[in-house]
Amino acid sequence: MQTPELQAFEVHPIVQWRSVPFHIQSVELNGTDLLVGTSQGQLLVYDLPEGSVGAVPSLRLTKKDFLKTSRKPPISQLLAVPELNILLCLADTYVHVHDLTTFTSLYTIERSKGTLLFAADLHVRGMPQADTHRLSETRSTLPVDRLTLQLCCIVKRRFFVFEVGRDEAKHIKDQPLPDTPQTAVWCGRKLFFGFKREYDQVEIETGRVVEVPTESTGSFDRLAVRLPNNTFALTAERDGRPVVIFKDIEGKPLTSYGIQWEDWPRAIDVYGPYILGVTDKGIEVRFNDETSKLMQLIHLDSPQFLVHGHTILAASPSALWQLHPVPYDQQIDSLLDVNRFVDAKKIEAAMPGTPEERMKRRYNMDKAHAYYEFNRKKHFKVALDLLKGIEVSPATVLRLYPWLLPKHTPAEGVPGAPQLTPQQKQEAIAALILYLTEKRTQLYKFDSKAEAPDEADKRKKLMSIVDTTLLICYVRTGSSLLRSFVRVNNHCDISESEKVLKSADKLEELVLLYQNRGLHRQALELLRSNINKTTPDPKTMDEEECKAMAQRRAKWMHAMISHLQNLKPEHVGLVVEYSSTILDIDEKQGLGIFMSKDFPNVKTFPRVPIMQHLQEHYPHLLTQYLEFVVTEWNDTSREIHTALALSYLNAVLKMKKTPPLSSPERQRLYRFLRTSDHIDASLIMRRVASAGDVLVEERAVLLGQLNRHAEALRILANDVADPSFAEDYCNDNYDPHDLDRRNLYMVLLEHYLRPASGPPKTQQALTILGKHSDKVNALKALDMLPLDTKISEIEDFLMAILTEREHTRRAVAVQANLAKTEQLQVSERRIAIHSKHFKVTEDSLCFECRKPIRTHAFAIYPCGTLVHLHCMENESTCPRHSTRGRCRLTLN
Amino acid sequence: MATRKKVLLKVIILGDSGVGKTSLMNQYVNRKFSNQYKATIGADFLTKEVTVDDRLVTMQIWDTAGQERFQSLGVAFYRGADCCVLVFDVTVPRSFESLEAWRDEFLIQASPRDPEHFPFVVLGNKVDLKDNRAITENRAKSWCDEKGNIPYFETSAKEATKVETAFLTIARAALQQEKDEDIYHDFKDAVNLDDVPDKKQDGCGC
Repeated sequence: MQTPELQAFEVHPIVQWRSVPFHIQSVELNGTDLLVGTSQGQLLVYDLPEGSVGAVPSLRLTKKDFLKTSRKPPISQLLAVPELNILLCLADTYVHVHDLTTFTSLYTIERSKGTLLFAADLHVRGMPQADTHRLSETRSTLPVDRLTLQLCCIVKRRFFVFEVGRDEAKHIKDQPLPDTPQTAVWCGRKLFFGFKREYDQVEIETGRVVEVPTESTGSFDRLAVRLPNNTFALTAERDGRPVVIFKDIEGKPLTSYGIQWEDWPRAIDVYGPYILGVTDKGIEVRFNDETSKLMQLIHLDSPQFLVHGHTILAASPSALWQLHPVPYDQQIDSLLDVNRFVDAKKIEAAMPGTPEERMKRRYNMDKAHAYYEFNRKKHFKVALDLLKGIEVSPATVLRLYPWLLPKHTPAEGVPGAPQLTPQQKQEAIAALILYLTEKRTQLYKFDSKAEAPDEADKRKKLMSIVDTTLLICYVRTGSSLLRSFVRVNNHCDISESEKVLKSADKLEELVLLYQNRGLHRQALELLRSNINKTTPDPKTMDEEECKAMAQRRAKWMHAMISHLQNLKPEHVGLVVEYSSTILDIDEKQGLGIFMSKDFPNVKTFPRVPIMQHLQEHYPHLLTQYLEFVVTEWNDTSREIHTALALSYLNAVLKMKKTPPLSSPERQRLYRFLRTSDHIDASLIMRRVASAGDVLVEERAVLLGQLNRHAEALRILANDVADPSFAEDYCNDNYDPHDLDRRNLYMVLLEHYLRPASGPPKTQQALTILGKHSDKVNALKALDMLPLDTKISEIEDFLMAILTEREHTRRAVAVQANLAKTEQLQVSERRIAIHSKHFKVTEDSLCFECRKPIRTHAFAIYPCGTLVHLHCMENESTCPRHSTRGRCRLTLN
Repeated sequence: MATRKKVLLKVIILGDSGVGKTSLMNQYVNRKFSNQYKATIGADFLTKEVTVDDRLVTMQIWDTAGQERFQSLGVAFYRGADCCVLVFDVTVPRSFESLEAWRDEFLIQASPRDPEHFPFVVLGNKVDLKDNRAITENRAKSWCDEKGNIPYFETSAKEATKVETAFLTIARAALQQEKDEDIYHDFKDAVNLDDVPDKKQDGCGC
């Protein structure tokens, strides 16, 4: 059983009758007049001033002759109607009408004979649903001249309706009922009746009866009470238990819940957040919401009913009590003292105040509540949700977690930090994670454009605190979200995060965090130290350990490689610097850093620094890198090509004996020199020259690149045994439109036929002449031939020249004849066109605009369609036939 | 426990702008495809009732705007998701590289109870554009394997390739996740019961 501690109402006995021969039968409160009807037909009038609390009211008047009868029947019902200045009173089964000031009888409604109970209501003409409840705020504004008092009298199984005035009561109607009602109340132009087994609503004008559903079938004491704002409270039954439900004026339910009671209430009233019910135990004060929570139980000796005027009164046959509401803030304070936050907040909701006042009250209560839930109840999520609701700063929230953040000490305003078990700490962190993720979304969502600079600073700081704490939370819970978190956009404080992650040995995550924040050097340094730390040492470790260590190292190396490969071109310095760590361990993987096709950034790395680095520290890897860059990525830079040529050259020069041209080393050099257009030929040339008289072929190629063709050909003609090199050279470099290059074959011939030393190489010269007769000056070539050359030896050459000459001559003749024919055809067509004529008369119309051509410029299509020149849209398409091409335009 | 009660599965689709999230959803729910691109603003959802292993479930598929980052959506949007679908365009390498970031964002925002086993499904969309293909099936698969065997499907919203199969897998994964959550909640309730008498003592002093 509940024992409520709250005092929502102070109870003061104000009237107590111990030794009087009659008892209290009915009570009415009219302004400061407290009217008491006795069981012996007397009316007692007390003064009960407004604002008096617990004072015994003074008895002003005792009207013994209130009823004009000697039989002294009990006054069972009293109702004051100040608007008409009358008092209705039920006694002796009649309704009597009295003056409300003098209490003298005005008249008795004779037709009301047999009345068991009555219900009266003020009606306003033209306002069928006016809220006329005596406690309603609108009542004082009702138009007095349009008010009528409606009285309903229950006479056994029948009801009578009267319109009551000061002088007489008009009978409006009467109607039979299915049973004798236990309760009756007006609702607009209808009446609510409560019978033993149901509630009905009767429309006065039509007499229509409608049952009001209450989901209750049992038989119990029905009670219908009218409340302000045209709402009605009805007793009902749910699962066999008494409840009070609420209906609107049409009988429709207002709430889904019912107020639950231990016992059927005899009388009901509402005040603020409470509903009061009179039961055998006394007066129960409950929350008027779905909890029906009993807040106060007022023990009184057989209370019967409640009267609500400027104060609330409870009455028993021999006593009257004043129920004085305790101020809300006092109630709240007493609830907060015992940590009843939820209850306190409900009372607060009923308090008046400006939105600011309410927010302030709410803030303090929610904050206290949150601390209580957190520290005492260990309901961490509830606590943080409360704090989130009132938008306290995250810094304040974090003060609840002094054990999580060592540098934050519990600040004032926060009750001493609780001792938490490890399990509770985990729960507290879980709640904090949810809180922080929501907070950070808010912070990140914030529109930074509309923000003052100092505000922005503050927000940044806050973001840093939130994110750093979140990081700590993830570390503490061992959550795999840590890895995701360090990769998303975050504002973690780096030095703090470093400490946390290092002490938790979350180095991979620390690397990711560095990477995320662009702290590449830190990331790489950490990776390097880890690679160094995991180097297997066969001296101190056995084979198994070495293997395990190597595996760990491989993981770190992989991390470093992919980190380097994801760097931007501007970080090439770092790439070069840290690549050594990998290169020193594994050259293949190390070189792979620069030669990956899977990572788009790698291709964009500046290549010269990489080349220089390799050249300086890993010269044996240089060629491989340069070859890759040139062949796979089609590098065309001078530096790279020259370096590759040099590296090929060095490989050749390094050999003890210069290998023949057919050796692979010289082949690749020779081929590269011949094919590359981007090498610094003079540089290579100097290197080649310094090697002495070897590498003749290469030298010739280089001379060619330097446009020193004469020299090149001299070498090829004189120093190279195989004549195909000389011929290839000429083929490579011949260009009929270049002054330097169109004579190459002639120069070669000259070297063959008129050598500076030694015998002429007539045979080679003849071969060239035979193959390339079109690229040499035939006359000069013949001139150079030795006189003893046989005709048969130069037959090929001569035949080739003659054939070529004849071919040219004939081709020109054909061309000339064709041109002549074409000219004839054109002039024939011209004559034909000129010979056509067409007559333009006054009636000739433009096909487009349908106006006469007159003297305007015009065009005519072959079919004869005429248009103005300015109307013509498309000269190749006749507008009449829409044919393409067939009607070709002719202009006159 | 989840006895035959009506099940609502919340599925969230994430991925870069223009990879075809909306198209996939439309193809699956409405069997329609449009070549025209219209950027999604904020987030929107469609629902579809499907039968998964003889069980009728309602899938609530949340389509998101790829252009904006998570900030505009917020925690409430992600929480309570039963499955997250990551979509990329097989012709755009960048959209594939973003998958990791989308996954991270989702996990941090949604804070699932068991992040390592939270169901993701990856869809490589626009496989009909064979000539422009930039991400091989193998590369996508190996990424999925690395992240804990995420199911991977090569889809085309345009030609309705594998869309149905993929969403069935999504529904199944989501249903499994939802069941796991239920077990957790039941467990949680059991713990809370202990709290109740305590609360009453303190709360209203009975």
